[in-house]
Amino acid sequence: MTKSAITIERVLDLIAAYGAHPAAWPDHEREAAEALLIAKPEAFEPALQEAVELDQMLMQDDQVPEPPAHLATTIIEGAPVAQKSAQRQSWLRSLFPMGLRLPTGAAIASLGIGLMAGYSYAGDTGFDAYLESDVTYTDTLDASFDDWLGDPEGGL
Amino acid sequence: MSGISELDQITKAAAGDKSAQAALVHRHMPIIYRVAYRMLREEAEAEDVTQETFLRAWKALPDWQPKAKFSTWACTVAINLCRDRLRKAKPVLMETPPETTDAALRPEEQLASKQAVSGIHAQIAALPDRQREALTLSALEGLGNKETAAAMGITVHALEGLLGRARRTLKSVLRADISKDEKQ
Repeated sequence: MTKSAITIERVLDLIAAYGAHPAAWPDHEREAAEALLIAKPEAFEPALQEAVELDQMLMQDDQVPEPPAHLATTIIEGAPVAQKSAQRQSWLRSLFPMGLRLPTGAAIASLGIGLMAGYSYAGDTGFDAYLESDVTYTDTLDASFDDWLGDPEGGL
Repeated sequence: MSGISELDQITKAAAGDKSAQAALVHRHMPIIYRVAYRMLREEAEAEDVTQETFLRAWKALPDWQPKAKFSTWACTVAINLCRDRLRKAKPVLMETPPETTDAALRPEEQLASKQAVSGIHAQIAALPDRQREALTLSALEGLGNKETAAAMGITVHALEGLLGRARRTLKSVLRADISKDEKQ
């Protein structure tokens, strides 16, 4: 609001609502209102005097106790706690600042290489190799117990 | 708030950052407690309202929209909680004002001062709820007119009406008290 736009009535309204002290008036009207107060003091004197008396009375209503010391602690204790998964994620992120895609890709690649190597080795030592080997296995227990113990002379 | 926006602080507090939560509490708790005390005139009640306001804040923070300042939102919650308590409490909660004697005053002056303080407490407490809320936030706690209006969910124009009526009521009552004292 410009200095010229404010009226005597509006300044009286401000005094009636917010009191005598311009600091309590709305920011955008303060400057214009103060200018009008200086320009026409007689228009505002009775209203200001009444408002000052009430302002002083209101200032006496400042007997508000301090919040008890434990209150802040109690409130903070009731605040939400960081989720563990979130903590774990942030820990992982701190390990891999470039993001989690790179280690995930590396893990999948390692798994693939491991599986391929495993299969190729299993091919060499698999069932076909068993069939082709010279080793003979007994499928019946027709040998005596001594055969299982080996040479009794040599001892165990 | 040094170097960190309120939204950043709220985001961190919502994520469980203890230092952001503590900063939020230390910054806003005193005004919430004072508003609650001025409305209810009872320390334990003011404590409960302050605690409840922050409990609601912790729940609201994850979905926080920066449409309003945290202080405005918190004052709105606190005022609503006070309204609920005042509605339930019959008769209106009042507490004996604390001792406020000034050693520099003579005994009769101390008595007069005590009566004046007690008088203004009682007169403010006797105002209609909305007028008392407006006066508490604006005149006693020094909130700006827009913030007060937002906290109360009314327009600035309506706020000025409430403040004007509150002040007129107080003036007439206090004037009547003074003239009564002068007659005695």
